[in-house]
Amino acid sequence: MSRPTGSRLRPRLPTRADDWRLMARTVRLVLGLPAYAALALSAAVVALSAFVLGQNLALTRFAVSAPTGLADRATILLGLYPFLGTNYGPVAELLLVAVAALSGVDVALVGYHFREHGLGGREGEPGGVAGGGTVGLILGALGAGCAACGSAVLAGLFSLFGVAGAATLLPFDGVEFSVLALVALVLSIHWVADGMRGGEIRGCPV
Amino acid sequence: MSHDRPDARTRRRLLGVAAATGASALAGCTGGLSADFPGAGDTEATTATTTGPPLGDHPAAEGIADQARFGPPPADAEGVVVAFEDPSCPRCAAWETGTVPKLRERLGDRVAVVFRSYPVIYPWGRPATQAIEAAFARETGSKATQATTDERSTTTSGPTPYGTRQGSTATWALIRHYFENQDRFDADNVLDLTRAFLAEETDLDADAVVADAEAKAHDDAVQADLAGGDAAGVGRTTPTVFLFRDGEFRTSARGSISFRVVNAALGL
Repeated sequence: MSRPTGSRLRPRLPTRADDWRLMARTVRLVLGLPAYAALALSAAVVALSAFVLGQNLALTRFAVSAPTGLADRATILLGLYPFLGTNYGPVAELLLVAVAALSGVDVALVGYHFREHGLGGREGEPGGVAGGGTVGLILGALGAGCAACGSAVLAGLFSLFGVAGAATLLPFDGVEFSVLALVALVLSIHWVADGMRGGEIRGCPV
Repeated sequence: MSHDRPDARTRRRLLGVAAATGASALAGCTGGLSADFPGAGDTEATTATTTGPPLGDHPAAEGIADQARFGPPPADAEGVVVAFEDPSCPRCAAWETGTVPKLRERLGDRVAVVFRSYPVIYPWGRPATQAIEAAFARETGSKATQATTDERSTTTSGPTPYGTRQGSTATWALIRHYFENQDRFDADNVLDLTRAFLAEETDLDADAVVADAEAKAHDDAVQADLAGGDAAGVGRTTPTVFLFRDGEFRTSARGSISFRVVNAALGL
């Protein structure tokens, strides 16, 4: 089913209730497949681990390689994750988990679209499918870094542009970037779902 | 308009997602890599005071015997936790109010917890740090005898009040005040509020401490902490804690890690 030419020209933002219903239905159908549910879960765990363990590489390396017991290794590693440790505030924890979860969903949708439909996103998409996901993942990492320990990641990034102190201007301690990551990932998921519009998933029309 | 084939375009996009994941990990790593390489900082470590060799020759431990701390002297402690903290840093507040009290309560006779000022987050942290160093200098300079008494008494009596080590009861009270009331401070009011707190809650000469802070009379101590942290790879991340066991460096951690993580990493 093709879309009217005019609709291609308008910004592809999820502004209508139909857009959100399409996203929800597409996600539900794709994650209803065990393989893609597992892919989403795996990608989410990998994303979350990259966010939190990347903040503490020295400690992670110590937990993995030091001559210590299995229980201590597990305590150290699990203690770096949201809700299991104390490294983040409650808002930052929720946002981090949400970013990781949406990252997993995004990867699963892109994977499904590629394998089952053999098609990429439509031309003219703002940023493209992976473009939104890329922005979301990068912002997620920035948000994790800021929320965890004094804007470390963001300060490092800003320092490349000679404005190292700019990170301290963020009024919410870097949580802003986690929110932006959520927005970017939602947009990415919307664009993937929009790209699958008119097709079928598990025999169901999208 | 692109003339790429759709499948080729899609493969590039998938590669983009993979690259983004890698970039995310890499971005996260920028805060952690330097901690693996003590000495990778831009500035050579300097010390305001030297009281014996640092633990494990680690720059984070330079001169820690002269820092505000809880627990036994570092040279006698099974474990030493050196924390670089900024009074204005929210995660430092979580560390100070969540993890440090548990360290004191459960491992207070075995682990030394050392505070090193490292003001790099919000602007009001810098004058606050000057005030902390000024208060500490006045307390330890005038109360050496009392410090010894305090240390002895806190090892034999019941629950210890917040801050009785190194003769720095008032200094620790000030540190705690900053961490518990971060929302009240900004660069314009921090020293006025500091003066009021010291005058009401401590027996320090509040005006003198604030005057010292304004004049940066103890900036050498601040710079020594900054240089030590820089040399240890702290960068702009607070809190960054360095963990030592039996005089040897074990590992470092970024953020307000929990008591359980510290305990496990120290192997206690």
